[in-house]
Amino acid sequence: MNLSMNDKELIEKISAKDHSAFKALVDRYQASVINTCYNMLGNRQDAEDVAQEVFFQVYKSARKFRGEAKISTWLYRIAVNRSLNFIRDNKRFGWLKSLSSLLEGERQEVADVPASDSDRPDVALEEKERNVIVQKVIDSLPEKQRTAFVLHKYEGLSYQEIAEISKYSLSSVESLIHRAKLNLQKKLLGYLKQK
Amino acid sequence: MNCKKVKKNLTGYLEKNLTKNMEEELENHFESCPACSHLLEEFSQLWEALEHREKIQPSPYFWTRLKQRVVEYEEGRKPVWGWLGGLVDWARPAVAVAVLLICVFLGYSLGNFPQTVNGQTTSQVDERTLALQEFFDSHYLNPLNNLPTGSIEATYLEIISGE
Repeated sequence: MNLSMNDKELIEKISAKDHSAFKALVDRYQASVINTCYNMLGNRQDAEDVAQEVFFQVYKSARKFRGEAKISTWLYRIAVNRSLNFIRDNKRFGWLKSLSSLLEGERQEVADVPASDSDRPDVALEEKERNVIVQKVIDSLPEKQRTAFVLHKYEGLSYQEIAEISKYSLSSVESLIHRAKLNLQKKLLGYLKQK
Repeated sequence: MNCKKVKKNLTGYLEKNLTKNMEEELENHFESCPACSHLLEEFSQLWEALEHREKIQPSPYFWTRLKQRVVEYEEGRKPVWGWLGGLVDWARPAVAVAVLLICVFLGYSLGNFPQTVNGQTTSQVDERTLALQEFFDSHYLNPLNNLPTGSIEATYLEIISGE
């Protein structure tokens, strides 16, 4: 059996609609799930909305969880899939969102970027601008490259773990991360050239 | 080592993934090329920002929102409606087929529905028309066929009928 006793007990209790067990699961994994979604989507509010969907899905599907993989693997898989669905839906209806922003006033996307700890405003601004650029280049990556890169770089997952989550082969994961880095390098150099 | 090659290997240099020889070549180039040296400085700042993104903290209301949603979901699944939820899966195609059959039946029925003329059905109108035709034939047409040969009436009839 792959699950630890704690994981097994949590899932069994969640299957029986035990809210305190569900809260324990959320407390344990919410940071990972929210940050995975944030790194995929680049927006805090969207990340929290998608993370809510992830945990709600877990709550509904707990009794179907067969225990063949770790809970964390299952959670990451749902988080990635939901994030990618969100991105695709956003692309499809992006014109509507733009219209809504136009009517309601432009959203301050830059405000979602973590603030700098620096005391100097000019340094803080530079850091903020760098973070915006970084988010843009990550957003520009193809889905598979983005998934592999985010899980490896920001969640610290091994290539094997990423392969289990994404159901790609190990060699594919390695190749995707390598190509993601080359892509990011190219885009960052392109930005510096324009500057 | 030229500037183009340096640019291709910047990431590898920063992540120390290059061979020792390649690393030395790049470092020698940075010492002699101010443009690439400056590029390295700017690129490394961006790469550093990419490598070490700050983690965001979950909103304090995350659990509250989630719990509310779970409670509403549980309340929505009342036992009396539970069996109805199970019907939905097969009911939808069954309803679609039933609607289709009803439409076919209606179409067929409307196509064969007897028409009316002045309150009478088509079959009744046809019978009446037939009776009138028979009366007309017997009282008006048949006598014309039995006109005496050489009579004025017979001659006139020949002229107007073109015979």
